Amino acid sequence: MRAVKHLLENNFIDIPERFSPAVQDPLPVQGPEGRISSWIVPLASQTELLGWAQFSPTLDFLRYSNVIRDSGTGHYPDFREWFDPATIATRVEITVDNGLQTSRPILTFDRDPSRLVWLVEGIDTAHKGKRWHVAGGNIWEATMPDEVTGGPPGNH
Amino acid sequence: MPEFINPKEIQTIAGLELNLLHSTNAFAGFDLEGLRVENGSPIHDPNGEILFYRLPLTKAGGLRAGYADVAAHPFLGAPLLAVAPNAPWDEKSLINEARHALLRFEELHEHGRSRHYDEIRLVAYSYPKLAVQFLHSNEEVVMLELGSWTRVPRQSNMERPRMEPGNFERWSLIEELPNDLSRERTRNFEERLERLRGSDLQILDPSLITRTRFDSPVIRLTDTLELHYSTRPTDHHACYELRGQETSVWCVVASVQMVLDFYRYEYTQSRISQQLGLGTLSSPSGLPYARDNDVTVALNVMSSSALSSTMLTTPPFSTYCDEIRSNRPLISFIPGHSRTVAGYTESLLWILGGRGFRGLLVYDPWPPNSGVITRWENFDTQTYRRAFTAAVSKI
Repeated sequence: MRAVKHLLENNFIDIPERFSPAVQDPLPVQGPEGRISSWIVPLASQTELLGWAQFSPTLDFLRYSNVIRDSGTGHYPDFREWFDPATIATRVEITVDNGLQTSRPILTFDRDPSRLVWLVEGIDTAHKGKRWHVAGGNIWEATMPDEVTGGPPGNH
Repeated sequence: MPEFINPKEIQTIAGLELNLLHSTNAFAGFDLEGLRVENGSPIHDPNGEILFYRLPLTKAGGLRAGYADVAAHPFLGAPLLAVAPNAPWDEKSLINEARHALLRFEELHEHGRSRHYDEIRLVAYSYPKLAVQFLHSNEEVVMLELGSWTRVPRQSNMERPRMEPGNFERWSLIEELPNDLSRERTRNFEERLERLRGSDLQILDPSLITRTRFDSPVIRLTDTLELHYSTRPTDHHACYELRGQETSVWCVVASVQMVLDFYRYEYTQSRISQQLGLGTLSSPSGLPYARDNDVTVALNVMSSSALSSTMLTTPPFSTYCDEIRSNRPLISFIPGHSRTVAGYTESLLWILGGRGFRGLLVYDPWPPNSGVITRWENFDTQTYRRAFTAAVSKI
């Protein structure tokens, strides 16, 4: 958090003028072997998500990304929809299958560490284990990494 | 003997580096404000080439304050080698001292027999340790270590491994540096020199170290550029738009769309996917690594051959800079993902040997249906697979 505040104070991070962002608690991003692969520090203004900074486990700066305002509503995305595990788990249960029992979402990445996703595992009504990726308003079944830029054909 | 930096340029280079460091308070406890960088003394390698220059720093009234070492040889890796803000450097008095030391040496060891010399050089006999070399007709008469005034032995131990000299041994950094290291250092040295030569600070008197010049809006501590409507320097409109990928696997499609949009070729992602053979919205797929080159074909075909695209493998940072300076976006493939690059930034500050920050402005179609603008992505922490350039070749 201190590192993000330093970046803000030095105008390294580009924030829309009318906002005074609050630095949120850092979230660990899990790699494929369960180790922490990076840290995400979101920036929000009240309920709106403005962007996030990403740091390596040794706190080297990796990137800062600004999210985009909805051109229709003029609002930035709801912070909870992107970074609140309970909200994300509920959305998966509602979207995929009402009878689904899900695990607590884990913040991880799909293929490259810059492609942040929440991983939700669940058992459907047919007692079959499934894994979903969630990014913002999108939910799809997780696939294994392979030599394809983007991902393989499947249910997207 | 090759000359890598014009000696006249040495003082300017030292002034630029010291001003940049001073502006960031890099010298905690030492105030360099108002100091001047004077002409320096050449310091030779034992092989005879000039290795670096030692430049005195002076206060008002010519009082000596310290010194800075600036490389004259690219094998040292960076122009600014060292700064000693509190150690005055006075070549003239040191040479006088060396002359007296030689007389004492002759009295003690050679029964007062006087040696003839016609040239005196400062030599980094075991970098960075210095000695004074007395020469006659270009041949060494004697070499005395600076300060201790002990004679430096002539022969170096050639049996030992490279770069592992003894405590008091003469050896040549230029001749012993391993080839791979010398190549890397030369590359870094030349890159840094190029940046300094292009610095805005060149327009001011760099021999004066002062922070006041950084109050001027014309002085940049970073080299930063992003895509604009045109290459005219007065143009003030950033000109690039983000497209979120419409499925979780269409990052390549969205990246191609961003580049085509920049050149005013408007296509839907479904149409671009059709060209790339990446399925439909309801049944999409990503691009296998074996078909990377399909991107260049798509850019060419979908611009009616107006765009000429080239696929590059793990391009260096300078490739991104060159393309952005030509006002052209690039598609960047990292493992498993595709994005576009619309700008770069590079710090002109290299703090004491460490490389400054190098970042890319990335228009990332991820997450699906929204995307993010990443300002900046640390170039030195990311793996880059491919880059695709696109240039207008036919109008």
